[in-house]
Amino acid sequence: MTEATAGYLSIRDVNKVYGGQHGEATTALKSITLEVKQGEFLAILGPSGCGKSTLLQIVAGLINSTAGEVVLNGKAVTAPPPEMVYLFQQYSKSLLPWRTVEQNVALVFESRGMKKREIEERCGEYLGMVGLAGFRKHYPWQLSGGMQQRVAIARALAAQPRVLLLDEPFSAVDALTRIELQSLVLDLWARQGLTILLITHDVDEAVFMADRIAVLSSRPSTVEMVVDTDLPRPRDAMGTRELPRFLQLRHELVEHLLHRQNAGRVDA
Amino acid sequence: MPELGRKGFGLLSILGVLLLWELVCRAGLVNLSLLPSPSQIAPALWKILASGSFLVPLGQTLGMLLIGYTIACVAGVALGLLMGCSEYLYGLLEPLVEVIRPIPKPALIPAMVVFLGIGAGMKITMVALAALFPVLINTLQGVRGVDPVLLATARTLGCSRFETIRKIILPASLPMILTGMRVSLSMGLVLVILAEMLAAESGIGFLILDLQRSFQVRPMYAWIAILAAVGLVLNILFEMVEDRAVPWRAK
Ligand SMILES: Nc1ncnc2c1ncn2[C@@H]1O[C@H](COP(=O)(O)OP(=O)(O)OP(=O)(O)O)[C@@H](O)[C@H]1O
Ligand SMILES: [Mg+2]
Repeated sequence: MTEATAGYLSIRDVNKVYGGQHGEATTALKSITLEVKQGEFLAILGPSGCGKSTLLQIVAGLINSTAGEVVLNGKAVTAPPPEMVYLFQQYSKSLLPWRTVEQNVALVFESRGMKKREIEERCGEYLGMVGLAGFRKHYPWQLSGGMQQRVAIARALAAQPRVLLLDEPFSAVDALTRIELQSLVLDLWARQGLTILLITHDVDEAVFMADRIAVLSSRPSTVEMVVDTDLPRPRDAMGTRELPRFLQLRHELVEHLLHRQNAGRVDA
Repeated sequence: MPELGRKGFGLLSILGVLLLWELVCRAGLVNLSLLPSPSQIAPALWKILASGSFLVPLGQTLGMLLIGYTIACVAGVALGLLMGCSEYLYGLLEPLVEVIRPIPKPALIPAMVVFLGIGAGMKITMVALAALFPVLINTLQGVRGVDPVLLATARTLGCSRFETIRKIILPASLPMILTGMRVSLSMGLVLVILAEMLAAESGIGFLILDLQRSFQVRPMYAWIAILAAVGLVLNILFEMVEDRAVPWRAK
């Protein structure tokens, strides 16, 4: 794993206001500032509708912020940078239904002037990583939700990003699949030396996977607090969850979130 | 197969109407020289089919239809994609489309005859004009309806604009494009027959009118039956193409 480097990805005073001209304006993000180190795994925890997807899509260069800036490796992000891939919350909608699993992954290779054989090999390699080697010729709609998410992950990895932006990647799969996919992503993160930003509203997931956790307030959102998890790696699906530090962190975070809700904040 | 069973059942209604028609004729309720019975039309139909004399007019009509239709499909998809992908072109062309589209296309036949005469050029142009708009409008709607998630996925994965159009937008709009093409096909058939009736010296439309004028009522109805079969076959062929082209829609 590469040593964490400061100032790799900076999110500075990002503010986002939706609409405004005709209807009423929605301030999704008030002011978000976060520093992400290279090779870091950062989880972003926040209530539903607080602007998590908005934030991550701004980081990905997919939508413009109203104010503030995102800087990756010294360059301001104004369009999707090649070294960053955003994985949609609605992952099943992000797969091309007219392409097989293999062809979906091939999408990222086709523009690079590779030969057909080479593309097939590379696709096989990435599908193997997510355990879908046997489903190359299937169409996305023939797969379960968890398998579709694996295809989306394989395709994102095939684009060889340095930064992976995951928007609630496991929220639509069953509990067991979720645990499997969490371990898969952690494994790939470690092996490929990725930097990962993961959005979730699952406290357990955030603590289990991340190096640091940023907690967002409800809309208009700000960063309420950032905590270091300080849990040993590699993490183990069972063992890590039984560590006193894990339980303590989870307790603190849940208490914080509950307390905030009881304090009368609106949770959309 | 239940599918076949249902279709077979539907045939009953056709048989019923034919039977009723036959009975009405035999009972002497209509003038047989104006409305011959099915059993009188059948031999006329058989004569046309067996002698092979249907081949030339059918070829002429279908030829004009397919040329005009192909032009309309290519132009409609191209224009729809351009207008759907460029706000600028949309702003420029949308008013023009909205002005020409509502004109009932048969109204243009006399004008086209003035410019292009009564030959193939006129018929092809009329078919193309009539078939263009359903394809264009449906393509445009298809393009505008592409899921934003797909478009953003293409961007984050680093697809170029051109790649996105070819690999995402075009296939994603294909179901809508095919819907437009299906509507266009029947429009085209209507227009080619009408153009042949109003201004032509060949083709099935011309023939039907000519037979009517010379009081050859039985062959006239036989040709109408042939047209019904043509429409039916075209539709079945189209459905087969559609099922192959968009298998993911059947999920
Ligand atoms: N394109 C848009 N136009 C207008 N408002 C929007 C748009 N996208 C999001 N919003 C609003 O911005 C707020 C934040 O939306 P966002 O999807 O970023 O939240 P989220 O935290 O990802 O929610 P969830 O947990 O449900 O995924 C919401 O109130 C939403 O209604
Ligand atoms: Mg979201």
